[in-house]
This record gives sequence, structure tokens and C-alpha cells, in this order.
Amino acid sequence: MHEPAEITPQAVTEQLPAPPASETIAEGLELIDLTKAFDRTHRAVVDLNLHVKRGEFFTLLGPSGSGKSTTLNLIAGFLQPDQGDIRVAGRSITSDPPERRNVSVVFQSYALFPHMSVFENVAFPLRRQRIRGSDLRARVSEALELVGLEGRRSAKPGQLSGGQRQRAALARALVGRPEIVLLDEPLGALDRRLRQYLQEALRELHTRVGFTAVYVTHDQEEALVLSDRVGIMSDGALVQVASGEELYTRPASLFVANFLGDANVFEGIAAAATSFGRVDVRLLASQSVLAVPSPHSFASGDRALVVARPEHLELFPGAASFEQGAVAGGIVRERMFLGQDVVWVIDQDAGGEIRIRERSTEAKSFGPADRVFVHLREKSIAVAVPSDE
Amino acid sequence: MPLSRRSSRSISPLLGKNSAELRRNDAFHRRNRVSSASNRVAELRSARPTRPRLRSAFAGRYVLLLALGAFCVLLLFIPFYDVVRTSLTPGLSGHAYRAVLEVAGYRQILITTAEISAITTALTLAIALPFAHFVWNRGAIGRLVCLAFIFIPFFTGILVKNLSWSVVLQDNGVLNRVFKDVGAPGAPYGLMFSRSGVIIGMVHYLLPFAVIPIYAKLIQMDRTLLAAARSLGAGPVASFRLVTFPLIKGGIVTAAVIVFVAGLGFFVTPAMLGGPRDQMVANVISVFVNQLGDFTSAAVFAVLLGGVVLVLMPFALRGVREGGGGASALFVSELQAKGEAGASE
Amino acid sequence: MSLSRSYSFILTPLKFIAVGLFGAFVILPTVFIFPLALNRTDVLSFPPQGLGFRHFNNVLHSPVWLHAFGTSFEVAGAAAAVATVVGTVAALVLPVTNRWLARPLELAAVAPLVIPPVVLAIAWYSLFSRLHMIGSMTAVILGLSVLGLPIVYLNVVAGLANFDHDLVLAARSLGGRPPVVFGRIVLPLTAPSIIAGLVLAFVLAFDELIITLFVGGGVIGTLPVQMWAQIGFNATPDVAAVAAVSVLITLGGFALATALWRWRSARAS
Repeated sequence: MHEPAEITPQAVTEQLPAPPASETIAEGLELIDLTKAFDRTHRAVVDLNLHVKRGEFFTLLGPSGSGKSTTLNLIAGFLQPDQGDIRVAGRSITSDPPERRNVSVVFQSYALFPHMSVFENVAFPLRRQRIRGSDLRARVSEALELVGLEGRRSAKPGQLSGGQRQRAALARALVGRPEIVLLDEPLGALDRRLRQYLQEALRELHTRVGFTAVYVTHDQEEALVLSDRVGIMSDGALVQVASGEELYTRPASLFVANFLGDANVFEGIAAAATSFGRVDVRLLASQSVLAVPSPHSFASGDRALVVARPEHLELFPGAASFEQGAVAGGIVRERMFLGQDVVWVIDQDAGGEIRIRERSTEAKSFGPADRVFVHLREKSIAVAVPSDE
Repeated sequence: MPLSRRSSRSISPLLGKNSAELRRNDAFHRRNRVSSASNRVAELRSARPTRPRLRSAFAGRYVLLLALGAFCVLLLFIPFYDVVRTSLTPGLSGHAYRAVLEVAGYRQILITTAEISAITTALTLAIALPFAHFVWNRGAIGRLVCLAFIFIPFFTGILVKNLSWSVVLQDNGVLNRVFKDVGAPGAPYGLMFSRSGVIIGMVHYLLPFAVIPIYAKLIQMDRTLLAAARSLGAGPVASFRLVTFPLIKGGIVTAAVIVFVAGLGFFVTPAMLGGPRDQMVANVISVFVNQLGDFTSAAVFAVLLGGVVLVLMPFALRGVREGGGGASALFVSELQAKGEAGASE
Repeated sequence: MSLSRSYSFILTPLKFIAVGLFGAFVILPTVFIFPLALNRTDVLSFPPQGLGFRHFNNVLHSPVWLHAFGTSFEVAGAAAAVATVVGTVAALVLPVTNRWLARPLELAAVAPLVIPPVVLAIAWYSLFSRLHMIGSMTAVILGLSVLGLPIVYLNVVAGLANFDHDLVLAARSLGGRPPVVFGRIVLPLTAPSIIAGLVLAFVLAFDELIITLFVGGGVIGTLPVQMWAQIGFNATPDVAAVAAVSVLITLGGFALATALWRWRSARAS
């Protein structure tokens, strides 16, 4: 019988990232009960509540249509909410037009002014703030140096490469020292290599300058690389807000579990909760009882789903009956060699498939149609989430 | 069943996945999404939500709209209403219409106008279509040159053009002298003050108007369709007939309507190059207004002319929107099917 | 298929000859006017018997023709200006207006392109005679500006279609208030289209005859009106010289506009 890692109450709630993010509730960005509907059938954002700390890099992650871009547009002021409030540094900005919000935006299409040079583009927000002359030049140079475009200051956007354009857009968004920087899938139009390079550059920039960022993307990997915290959105609501690691290892729902990485799902019935944050679940397929952490509370007899990541399971050769403590049993369908890892696809007896991932160096050897049992690895974590039914 | 091999590509260090797995994961996730009404709507809209347009830009917009509206009402709606009203005098009756249409001479003018315009349209299209096609097949420089040829006349007024034509078409003008030298039968031709002269002048003026819509449709066309048709066994004539033509049909219709409607309203050309039997509606209107002072009859002709234009214009716009793409794609896929059927035998 | 391949060595040169003839046909009247005007004698004939600038001289020293040129410039310039202002406003405002309000106005903006000029002429004759404005410059200018309106409108709409709306949003998020956004972002980037519309509207008004005849009551002597009168009376190479000059003017304007386009879009891309 495997003993899952000891779960403490703190682990269930959000892990706070390391400083310099500010702790004061009044600073940073607050979204309060934000709601926006486009017509009776399309409610884009529903009762959204969020606090982004000052200096934090926060990402809204979700599938298309989940409301993340709408949320960004609301924060920027391009859309007016039906209900709710938006506050920056404690001050409500909901009634302010975009040009007074001190919130700058980086677009996927860069939106660099084509008839102005890079210098003029970056100077634009400073001119709006009535900064002129040598002050202006100094600030623009500072911003251009930050993104490594000092040598291209007189070029027009049309003469720059995609990566350079995005860096110019970043410089322009940062030079005015806005309270919040919004980034709407800014790396979407770039190829993979460039994306990775710019992700790292963006991360470094954030560490150096310490601006507050709200980033929107549908790419989970990007979200995990860049962010201090990630908010998963679905159908206009925030489903879970936590650090990337937290989201991956302790998803709060089946949706989140499926959205970030592969998830193996086992149906079961909950017994009464044992200690705080843990619940015993009797799996339907194997009748084994697992003591599994969960932020949810279950009543005895509730249906529950146990979620386990592929790398948290391992295979053992199977006899005719269930071994003690096995999570499930089945037949090997496929073995995929991926270089570093090997992925097994198992057809469960109870229906459905299970994926197990192990290092190639430690890979077991099974053949097709072999009978196997699936166990939870030592020191691995599975999570219980409520069933949707 | 053989164990499958997947090539490992760009493995993400963080999640231990490769891109193929990530894609499969997305699909898996999508299948498991709980369906709801808003989901369906979100799915139906395109992948990326569109950026909101800032309508709140300035409320003075409505003031401008009002000004625009007043401008249009004063200078378009009211005058037209006025003309229609006038044509119906005395007091909302068709009396003036009957009076005009009963006169054989006036009826003849209407028929003449339609005839001349129809012939002009046919000739103009017959020239414009091959020319547009030709330009389309040129390289960048060739195209520029050809299109310049088409557009330069745009900037010459109708009077200048007709002045030139009147000299060229004279009995001892350039053209007739060439015909005489060449020994053409029946030379010199009476081209001045004749229907032929009018038609030549009109065709010349209206050519750019015909070339533009046809050319616009041509460049919208996907060239690879032609390549596909050729590779499936259709020669240049057949591929034009079965692929190109259906696709640009809309442009041809638009061109035809534009040329015909414009032709109906011609004034200077029939006046300068035409004889007494080639006068068109516009000339008659001018006589009524400027010489006879018979405003009512003039209004009748104007309404008749305007009415025909109103009826025909939607066809020009429809040609712009319709693609005609369905027919050609169908043909290409039919050829493909035949080719495959033949290969399997 | 095989037919065209075997005869292509005949067809191709034939094709080019046909196109050459077509090109000559199209360009003929424009070019032809010059030898007519350069004729030494006083008869409109071709080929000219001797070349000289006599008729250009006559025209440039004739008060009648000079007055006609002046009137044409005035009228066409004013009409183009009005058409540009109204057309640009329409192109900026209508696409973002409620459909029900915008539709009739959009149709009205394009209508003058389609309606035969003679119909417009008689409609305006009726309107302006009621207002006792027949023969006034204002009436002619108004009429010709409506004629040029669709050209400007269509040009600016086309230019705006390629306009990336994100630029406006970016400018606003960076602190630009609506007037600034309009003046520094929208206007500079739509300028080529506006100027194109302006030039075309000018040319249209400059060469216009019917409406000017009707509404101007024979009193407003623009160049075409004067030419028309002269031709009806006695067509001499003087008229050809006038025609030649007007061709040079409009072609010059077009060349200027093209140069402006290139310069502007070089700034914009």
C-alpha cells in the first residue's frame, strides 16, 4: 500500500510566490464581480474576481472562447463591463476611458504605427505625458536598450523582423511606466524557436523591471514558463488560480486536470473524509481504497474522480485477480518510445484507457496484449475532484 | 498489431511531452468539455474573438451624421422627388407619360437609345474580356503598361475625345484615308454623323469601365484551379470555358450592367458624332429643357431613364458579390473523380 | 488542346498584334489632339500642314479662354474640396454607424456614380431654379461636388479597409485622446486615399459638361462649356489647343497625385 505524501493545510491553499510582489491588498490590480455579456446567449465573463499583486506576472489561460481576451479588453477599457469594478492601486478605473487608465497593451499584431519610426513609436506615450526634449530622448533610449533595439531606432516597423517588432511593442508598452501591462497572446504570430527565445527574454525583462503583467494565452507551456501565477478560465469564469506547479499537481477540477497535461481519471466513491484535506476513495474498477488529497469536501457516498498524472503511475505484471492496492488493471495496447520517456497506453478492464509514462532508462518490458496492473508510485500525488455528473 | 513508433520531436522539458502529445491532449480536452449553450456559441464563433471596435470614440458622430443626412436630402432626395412629381403633372396623373409615349418620334428615341447602348455593351465586353485576360497573364511591368493604357484616357474629358474622333472619322479623315489606300470596298465610309461613329465613340469611352470589374474578378481567382484543370486534361480553351469563365461571370455581368446603364445616359457623343437619327434620351432632355422650356416632358424622359437604371443596378452589385466559384470547383473535382476512376481500371 | 499548341506560333503574334491595335485605339484620341493643335493652318485636319505653336499662343492670350480656364479651376477646385470633406466624413462615420441609419446614406453616397449625369442635371435644374440659383457658381459647385462625392467616399473606404484597428486601440492605451488618435494615427495613414479621391474628384469636375450646362444656365463658362459653344460655332485648331492644354493639366494632376501616393505609402509601410 503506497502512502501518499503528507498533505498539510497550507499546501491546499495557494502557494504565495517569492517577493518582490507586493502583499498589500490595495496595490496591484483588482477585478471585482466583473461581468460582461454580449447578448443573451453569449456571456463572456461571469462574476470574475481576481487580485493580481503588484509586480506579479499573471497569466490567464484557457481555451478559445473562455473569456480571457474579453477580460483583457475590460481591463484595458476597450469594453465596458455590465457589472463589477476594476481597481488599480486601490482606485477604481472602470469609468475611465482607455487613455486615462495607465494600462498599456501589447497586441498579437504588434500594432506598431507603420508611419512612425521605432523611436517615434516608443516616444508616443511619453509625448502624451508631456515629456519632451532630452528627457524624452533619455527615456526612449533607456527603453530601447532594455529590449536590445537601440541600433534600430530610426527604422520603420516594416523594416523589422517579427521578433524585433514584438520587442519594439514591448518597449513602447513599458516606456511610460504603466501600472499594468496587458499582453494579448503577443507571441502567437511567431515561430516556435522565436517564441521560446522571446519567452525567456520576457521573463528576464520582468525580473529586471518588475512591472505588473497580465498575460493571455491558450498555450499551457507558455503560461507555465512565464508566470508567477496562472488563472485557468473556462466559460467566462476563473476555475482555479495558483502557481503552475500547483495547478499541475493539485488540479481543483477535472477541467483543469485535463487542460494542463494528460490526466488519467478513475471513478470512485468517497468514504468519509479522514484528516483535513484528505479523503478516502474506493475505486470502482479495482475496489482499492486510496487516501487521496483534495481541496474539496466529500460526503460519504459521493461520487469522486481520482486524477493521476501518467508519470505518477507504474505497471506490474498481472495475475488473474486484483493485487492489493492496484488502482486498475488492463491490457497493454501500445508502447510509444519518445526518446527520454516511454509512454504506455493501457486498455482498462473497466473501460477507457490509461497512460503511463516512465523514463526509458527504467522502462519495463511488456508486450502487446500483456495483462498488467497499474499502481500509484511511491511518493506520488493523485487528487480527488468531484464528478461532474 | 505492431507496436507503433512515434518520432520524438521538440520534447518539452517541463511537461515531458512532445508536440504530438500536446495536440492529442488538446483534442482529448475538447472532447471532454461539458457542453453548454454558451459553449456552443463560443464554438460557433471563430477561434479568436474579434477585437472590439471603439464606438464610444466621439458622440459628435451623430451631429456629423445629421449634417450628412441633410446634405443628401437637400441635394439628392428632394431634387429626385421633384422631378418625379413634375413628370406626373398635372396633379399626379400619367398624362405627360401618355403624351410622350404616343408620339412615334419620341418612342423611336427610346428604342434608339436602348439599341445603341446594347450594341455598345456587346462590343465593349467583346474587347474588354480578352484584354483583361491578357493583362492578367502579364508580368508586373507588362501589367503596369497595359493598365496605364487603360487609365490614361480616364483623364481625358469626353469633349476632347469626341473632338479627336470627329477629325479621325471624317470622310477624308485618317481612318477613311487608310481604308481608301488599303482598297477596302465601299470606302470612304460615312462614319461621321452616323450610328457607327456614335458607337465607336461610346465603346472607346466605356472600355475602362468594362475592364475594371472583369479584371478585379480575375485577380480574385485562384490560379491553381487552372493548373489543376490543365493537369487533369483540360486544354486552354476548355479550362477557360469551364473554370475561368464561371468564376468571373459575376464580373462580366457587373461590367455589362455598368456599361449599358452608362451608355443610356450619353449626351456629348451622340450630339457630336451622331446624325439626326442617332439622338438619344439625354439629347432630347436637353432640347426640352434648354430650348423648348417643356420641363414636364423632360421630366418624363428623365424618370424613364432613371427608372431603368434603378432596376438594373442591383444586378451590377450582385455580380460583385457572387463568386461563381462553386461551378468551377465542381468541375475540377469531377475531372479528378474521372481520372481516379480511369486509373483504377 | 492540340489545336492551339500547333497553331500557337501564329496565334501568339496575332494576340500581340490585336492587343497592339487595341492599345492604339484606346490611346488614340488622347494623343491625337496634339498634332491637331500644333497645326500651322486654321483648319482642323490631319496630318497637320506644318507644326507650330500658333494656336497655343492664341489661346494663352485670349481673354475668353483664360477666363474659362480660371472658372474651371475655381469650380473644380471648390467642388473637389467639398466632395473630399463630405466624402471623407462619410467614409469615417458610416462604417461604424448603426446599419439602419447607415444604409440609405451609403447608397446615396454611391448613387451619383451610377445615375446618368443628365438625370442629375435635370434634377438639380429643377431644385436650383426654385431657389433662383440657376447660373450661380454655388449651384454648379454643389452639383459637381455631389458628382465627385462617390469617388472620394469609395477611395477612403478602400483605404480604411486596410486599416488595422488595433492601431487605434494601441494609441488609446498609450494615452492618446480621440483627437490625437485621429490626427496622428488615422489621418496620416488614410491620407493617400483621401488625396487620391481629391484628385479624381477634381478631374471629374474639370471635364464635366452636362451638369454645368444645365445648372450653370450657360452663364458659368467653364472650359468644357466654352469648348462646347465654340465647337458648335466653328471648330478650329484653337479649340484643339485648349483641349490639349486641358489634357496636360489633368495628366499633370494625375502624375502629381501618383507621386504623392508613393511618398505617403513609403512613409506608411
